[in-house]
Amino acid sequence: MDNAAPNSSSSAAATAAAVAAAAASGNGVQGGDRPEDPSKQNLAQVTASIQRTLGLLHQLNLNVSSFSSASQLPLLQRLNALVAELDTMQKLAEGCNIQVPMEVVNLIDDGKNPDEFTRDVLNSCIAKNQITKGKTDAFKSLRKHLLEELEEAFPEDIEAYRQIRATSAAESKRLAQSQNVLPNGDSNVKAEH
Amino acid sequence: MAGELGQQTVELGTVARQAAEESYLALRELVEKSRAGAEGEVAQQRSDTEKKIDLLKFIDRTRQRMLRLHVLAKWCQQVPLLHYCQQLASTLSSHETCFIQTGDSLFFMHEGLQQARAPIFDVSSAIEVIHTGSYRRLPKSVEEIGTQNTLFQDERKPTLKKLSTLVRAKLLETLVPKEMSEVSVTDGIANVQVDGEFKVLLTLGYRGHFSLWRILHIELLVGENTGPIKLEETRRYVLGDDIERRMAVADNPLTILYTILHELCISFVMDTVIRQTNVLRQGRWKEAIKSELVSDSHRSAGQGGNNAPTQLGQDGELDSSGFRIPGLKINYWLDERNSGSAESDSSPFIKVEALQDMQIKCQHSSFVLDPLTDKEADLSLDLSCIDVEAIILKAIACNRHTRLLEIQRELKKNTRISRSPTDVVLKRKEVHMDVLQKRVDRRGFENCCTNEVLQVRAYGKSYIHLGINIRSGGFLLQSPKNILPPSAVLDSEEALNKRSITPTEVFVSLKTRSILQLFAATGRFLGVKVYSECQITLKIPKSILYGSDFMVMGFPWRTNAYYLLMQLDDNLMPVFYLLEVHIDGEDRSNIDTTTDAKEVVRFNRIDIGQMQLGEDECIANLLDVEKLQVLQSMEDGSPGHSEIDESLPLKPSFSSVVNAVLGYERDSPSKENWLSYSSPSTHLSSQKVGRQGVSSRAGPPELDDELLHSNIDTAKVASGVTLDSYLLSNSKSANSTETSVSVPAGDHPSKLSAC
Repeated sequence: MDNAAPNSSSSAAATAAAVAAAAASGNGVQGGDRPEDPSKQNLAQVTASIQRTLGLLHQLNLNVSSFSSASQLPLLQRLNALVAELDTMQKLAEGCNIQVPMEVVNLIDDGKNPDEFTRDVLNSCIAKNQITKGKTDAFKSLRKHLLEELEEAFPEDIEAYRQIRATSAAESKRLAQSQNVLPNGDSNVKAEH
Repeated sequence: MAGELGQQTVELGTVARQAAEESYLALRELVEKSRAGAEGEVAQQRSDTEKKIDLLKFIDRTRQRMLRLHVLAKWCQQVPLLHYCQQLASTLSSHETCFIQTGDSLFFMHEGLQQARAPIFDVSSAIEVIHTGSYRRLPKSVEEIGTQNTLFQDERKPTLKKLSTLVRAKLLETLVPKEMSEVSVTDGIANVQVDGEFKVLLTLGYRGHFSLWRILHIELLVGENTGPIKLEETRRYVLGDDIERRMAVADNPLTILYTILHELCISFVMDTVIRQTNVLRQGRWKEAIKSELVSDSHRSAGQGGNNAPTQLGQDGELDSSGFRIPGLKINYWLDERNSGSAESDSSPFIKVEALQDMQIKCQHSSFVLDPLTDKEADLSLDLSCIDVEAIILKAIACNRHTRLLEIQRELKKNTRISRSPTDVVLKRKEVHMDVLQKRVDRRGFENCCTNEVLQVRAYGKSYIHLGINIRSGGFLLQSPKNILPPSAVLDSEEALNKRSITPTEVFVSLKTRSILQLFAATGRFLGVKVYSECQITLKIPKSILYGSDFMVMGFPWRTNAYYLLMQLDDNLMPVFYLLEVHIDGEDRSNIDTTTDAKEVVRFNRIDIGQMQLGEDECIANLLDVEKLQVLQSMEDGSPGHSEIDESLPLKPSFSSVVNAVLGYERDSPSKENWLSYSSPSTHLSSQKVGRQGVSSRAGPPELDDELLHSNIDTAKVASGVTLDSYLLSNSKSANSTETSVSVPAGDHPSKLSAC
């Protein structure tokens, strides 16, 4: 029962899980994990609590289904433990403020995989990205074409323009490089198209 | 899609909490059920199997819940990834926007490039420059750089002439509203004026279109006495722009212009009126006027014969039904109808409101006459010099005049009060204030400052004046002190204001009292005692009384057995009665206030019409000494305690004399209607009156109808001094003057000098 959820996950869910792991570890944001830690911890605690509850329930089930007079006491004990665990869970849940989209909840209620939601979000993001990339490429080609034509018509102006552009680009690169300094003194340089 | 997804969120903690709570509650329910079963009847008790099944069900449900929760919790580990994706998505959308803007600007640039490729050359200016070497007017593009463009001096005149012609032509073909009193064209500028409201200078050429009007100047002519209202520059420009715009699209531009400015003026006027009223209400006229706003509920859009609202209704720009200028109702004379409950409807009011045709009208609540024109008062508001106070004062003056006129008519009908045309006169007292005459319109000033009074004759040249208080609308009675005591006047005034008696009754009563007072004064002057009500009580038979105003006079011989009753009949003629009063022995010496009412034993009317009076200048001896001596022997009564001078033994003869007067009549007065005496007016003390004399100058007055008028001399002598001091002065002069009291002897007609 505990493993029911992971067992039913599809490949998409697996890739999503992999992406999630990659994202979680390969985040561009190196620093700033500190504020996330408590919430992560909280989430982990809640999850653990839920797991414990599930375990207890399982045992209780076994107890009840194969009931004998001797198992009266363990039954009561487990019931009490269950209640205690529920109480713990509630207390832990108070500190948890992760916002969950309704779509996910609906998916779970319908019995589907909530990773589908994540997948949808990612896909839309990728799609948008592609669209914008296309536009960017179009503009780049337009610029290139314009400059070529202009160079034929007004060579001096273009030359002046290029010089201005080069100086400003160098300026901005220098600024960017000074910001992207790695701890060991190297700078993180991006490849220029 | 990421934007649409994830909009509605729920907190994980909440979900977890709720799940735990529900499980717990379910378990509790189970426990309660089993406990209830245990405590209840045996039949209700659930068997073990059933309990087991319940428990299993519970476990199953809870497990499902927990599983889902677990899945959710596990999923939540992906939340950072989700956030990142959302950030990316927003970045991307901002990129999109930038690209769109770039595309737009590229497009416009493309258009601009096309124009830059082929600029429009000013060929005409170029030709001009080539041919003439100079240019008349700067090309538009150069002009836009910002240099001024004015005509040369020699060009102005013809150009203005042309412009004037154009303007005149346009005016001819445009419908000019009839309210515009003056339309003139000079130098291309049309001067349009509505008297008392506004003045506008117009010309043609709105934004280059020569058929549209442009407003050069707007001036308002409405104002208060400080001058016309000044429109600020910015407001004028804004207003002018707006009107120009509307005129450009309307069929009848001048009508629109008129309507808008007219409404503006009207609303200014109403604002001023309301403001002035408020100032008055808090200032000089506090508590004397009350004002309230009135919204005309009878007005509806599009009604009436006026064209303007209908046309505007079609345009839809200015809807008269939605634009109400409030009217103002000013109530004055608030003290009217002191019935306790505040009835504002009963006090007169002036209503100032803008009617359907958008003209301001002042109406009075009731019909009032203008004292200056003797026609219905026309309260009109001078728009160039708005003065609400003047209107109020005029209305009050007219109302006062009307009321006094009504009372005058009423009094004139009554013959007791009005016997000659000069008896009841409406008089206007002029107020001379030279300083103010310069500034203020004389006519209006006269109206409000003259004091109108109704003059009613009491007798001779003594008048009682009835005026109306401007502030409260209450009546004011005024009379010289010597003819009426102030208390009587005040009482009558109060009664008149409370509307408890009519003016006719008031004046009859006052006239009666004044005449009686005159007689009393004269009587005192002659030596008779005038009794006030607290001094004596007499039971006088009602049959001889004409009313409640009468006077009782006693004779100064300490004989309080005889009294002279004086009153006025219905024609205000004096009627005299001689009263004999029954006294017991103890009261004889007591001439002061007696508490017992004395009964009148017998009375006789003294017919003064039958009396003859001596014409000679000598003082008529009322008491003939010899006769007295003769009668003395006939006297049966014991000598009274007289304090009169020894030279005149008056005391014993009087009762016999009276007997002689009464002709030994023993008519027993009817005992049925007795009236306790109460003298109306005098408040003189019952001081012993010494001998008083009538100066030789004032001869015995004629006792006939002209008595009242010719008694002026006597009255003047008597009234020259106030009544209070009269006795004192006379007691001093007692020695200097002679007594002259004549008593009729026998059956001869008596020479009674009584006034």
